[in-house]
Amino acid sequence: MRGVEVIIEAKGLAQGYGRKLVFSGLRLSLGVGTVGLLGPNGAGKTTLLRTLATIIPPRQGTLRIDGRMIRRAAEVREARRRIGYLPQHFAYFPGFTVYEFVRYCAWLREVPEATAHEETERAIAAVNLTAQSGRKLRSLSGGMLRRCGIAQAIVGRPRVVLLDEPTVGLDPEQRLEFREIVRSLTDATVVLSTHLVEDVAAVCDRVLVMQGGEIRFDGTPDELAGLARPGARGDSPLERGYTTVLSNRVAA
Amino acid sequence: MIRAFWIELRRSPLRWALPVLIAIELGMLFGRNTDWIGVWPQASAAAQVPVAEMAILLSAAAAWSAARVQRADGIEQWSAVARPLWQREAVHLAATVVYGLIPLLVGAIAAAVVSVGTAGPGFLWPSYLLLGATVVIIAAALGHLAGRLTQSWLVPLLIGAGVYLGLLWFASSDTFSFSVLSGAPQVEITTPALLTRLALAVALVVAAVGFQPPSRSSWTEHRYRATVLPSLLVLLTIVGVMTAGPLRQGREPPDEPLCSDRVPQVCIWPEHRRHLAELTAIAERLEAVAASRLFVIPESFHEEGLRTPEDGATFPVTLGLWAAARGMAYGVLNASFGDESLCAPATAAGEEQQQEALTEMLEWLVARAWGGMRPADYHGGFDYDEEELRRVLRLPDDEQFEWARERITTAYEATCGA
Amino acid sequence: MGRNRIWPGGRYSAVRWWLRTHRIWAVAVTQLGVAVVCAVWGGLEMSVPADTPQGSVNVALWVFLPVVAAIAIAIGMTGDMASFEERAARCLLGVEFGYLGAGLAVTALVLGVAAYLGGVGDVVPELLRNLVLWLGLALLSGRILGRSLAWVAPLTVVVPLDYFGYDARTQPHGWAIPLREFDAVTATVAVLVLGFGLGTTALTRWHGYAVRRAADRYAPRTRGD
Repeated sequence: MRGVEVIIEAKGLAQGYGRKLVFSGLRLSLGVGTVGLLGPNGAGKTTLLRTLATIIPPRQGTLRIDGRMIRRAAEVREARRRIGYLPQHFAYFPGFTVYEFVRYCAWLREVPEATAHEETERAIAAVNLTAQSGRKLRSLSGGMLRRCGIAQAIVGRPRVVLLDEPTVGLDPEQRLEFREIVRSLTDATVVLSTHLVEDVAAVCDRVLVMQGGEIRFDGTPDELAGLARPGARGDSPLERGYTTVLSNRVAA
Repeated sequence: MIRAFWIELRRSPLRWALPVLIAIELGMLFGRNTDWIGVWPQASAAAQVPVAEMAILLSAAAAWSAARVQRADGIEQWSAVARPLWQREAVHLAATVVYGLIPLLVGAIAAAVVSVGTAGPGFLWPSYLLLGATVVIIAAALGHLAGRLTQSWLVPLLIGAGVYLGLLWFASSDTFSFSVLSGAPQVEITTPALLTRLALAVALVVAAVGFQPPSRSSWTEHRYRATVLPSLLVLLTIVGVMTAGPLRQGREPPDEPLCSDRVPQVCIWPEHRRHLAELTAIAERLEAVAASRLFVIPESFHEEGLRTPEDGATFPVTLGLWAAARGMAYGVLNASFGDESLCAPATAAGEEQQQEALTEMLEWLVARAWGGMRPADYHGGFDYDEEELRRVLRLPDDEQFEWARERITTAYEATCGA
Repeated sequence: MGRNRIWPGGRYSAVRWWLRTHRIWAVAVTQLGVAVVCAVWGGLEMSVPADTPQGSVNVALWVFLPVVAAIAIAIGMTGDMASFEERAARCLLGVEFGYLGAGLAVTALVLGVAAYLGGVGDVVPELLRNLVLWLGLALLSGRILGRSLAWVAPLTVVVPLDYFGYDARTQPHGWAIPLREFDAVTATVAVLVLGFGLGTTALTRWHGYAVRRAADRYAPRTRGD
């Protein structure tokens, strides 16, 4: 049954930049499934993903990935083998082909050499880039590049896949394809940070709404839609639920 | 690891520079004096010479390649991977180094191929090739480190120019040079000098792959270890290079040099085997001058380094056969009029008169030994009337000897006769 | 609404913005460094491998300095907003050429003074001619390979030039312009190379497009004859 096993567990997590604290005392417990991370700009979504991706160590609190506590460098390295991460600004080497780039990322994630080729091809197939496997990244369209970014995030079947605004720049058809890709990640904890509420509605089992460094809502998309107040802004029940959660905070 | 290395190799921007680097290597190898062909130490050194020239492009391209993560704005993204930073950078740098070593290898193979038919026993001297490889590694490591240190577009230019000018600058230093221009058999690279230079190259590699760019991550931060220790290592190895002594030292002459079986005998370093027949012919042409009864022809001519000039006539080979002919002719002149046989001129005019007569005689002897006028490639020495020498060389031997007798008389008259 | 000022002085001057996005301070520091080297070691002779009977030739350090200075000016054209500049209006070209002119003039002045102070004042004409020549080549390199790669062609050329540029009497070959003494011919060649570099810098893809269109318009018609 999905959601029973805890893959990501954070307690009392605090993070910030310089003197600015982005969030503190954050508790999080995520199992297998797709979690949508919604929130306005500056809510702390990207900072949370970067913390979960072990890019920056938490200022306070504990982080446990796939049952292992992350405290020391060796534990971080071990955890990173289980984390796939697509940052908001995805960096790539334009001279690499799709295969080479994903394979290189598999090597970076220490995917065992024996299975690296298979895993690379599998990841490329999962994002429907097999036909473009030999093309250089500089020749790909924005949508294909984004898919390549997702391929590098899922290569080696990591237990945790963190996607920071993965659908930015994708056309409607590509977004539908993206949703299919995310639905196919059945054995992982996928955290999807986005501004697009309809993406969350389509693929997420659970939604977190962040605002001002706090998690204002944690529940299913249906529960979020159910919070919608009459007259709340939005074109769908989920959007209205989302704006309701945000306006509650403002009102408070 | 192999696969990642292969990807780096295939996608390195240095692959575009490779044809240029190979062209530089081969162009410089065969584009200048090819006297090195058939002489193993010379051929080895010749293959190494272009490396210092390639360093300018290699280090600049290494810096450009190493800066790819910054160019992609991906420092943070790549810092969040499991693979340790040093492994990623080591594979990247290894690909760069390979692109630097390929031209050296091509040059060495070419030098070996053209030499093997005439050089006789032996093979390329590894020490010169290792010295070349050391320069490749140093240039690549410095470029890689510079590329990772800063994002400035100017870095490839500055590191390329810096490495090139640095190598040229230190080339004249006995203790801190990293390249040689030729490989005379009389000298060899010392083991301590080579090892300390290799150690410096390794230290720079450690610094280049170990450097941690500034990031907010403290999970894996060993910046102290990754910066201070390699810096200390580099400093230590620089001190090692400076205290290891000169890059090259003289070799012990062989117990049995290679000698001709003619009179006068010509003895050379075995590595110069391919020149023995030509040098023997030069000595025989000089022997023909003995018929004039004006000159004393030494019983043997030895290449420099086989004996001291005090022990008898010596001549150089490394500078070319014309220079060898000149050295032998000088030996004849010394044996005939050296030391006590000519008095020191008492006046400036006498000195000039003697110098002029001896110069004309030397050049005549050289031309006889060489079998013609000085090749266009050579210049220097005292001025003399080349047209007059041409005219004399066209005369029958008897008349040439008479001309020489006049010069000898002039030389004596200018001094003792005054 | 008044037009934004292009030339320096105003708060919203395009030149100010351009200089900021092109990190010109780094170019200035480089030129200063080159000038210091020129003033201190400009006359220092180094033994450079060469195609001469001796296998080397003594070349003074100042010979290499215009290469570095010229490339630095050309690399200064690389900006953080290159993708925006690609779509810029015509006035940007004026700013760029203004930068090149000012950069060349200031560098020439600084290098000239440095050479004079360094005791190699007699080579100032050669120094400045070479600065012009190498800048032309660097601009050409930047046009072909991308502005940040303006170093490629000059650094590739300088090594074979020094190596093969001298004859047996260690006199520069006729074609080795940067190694020759200053005269009207070499100065003209340097100016032509710079002109070519500037010309190619000014060209855009649209110039090629216009040429192709014109060629199409005047091409002989083969259909319907």
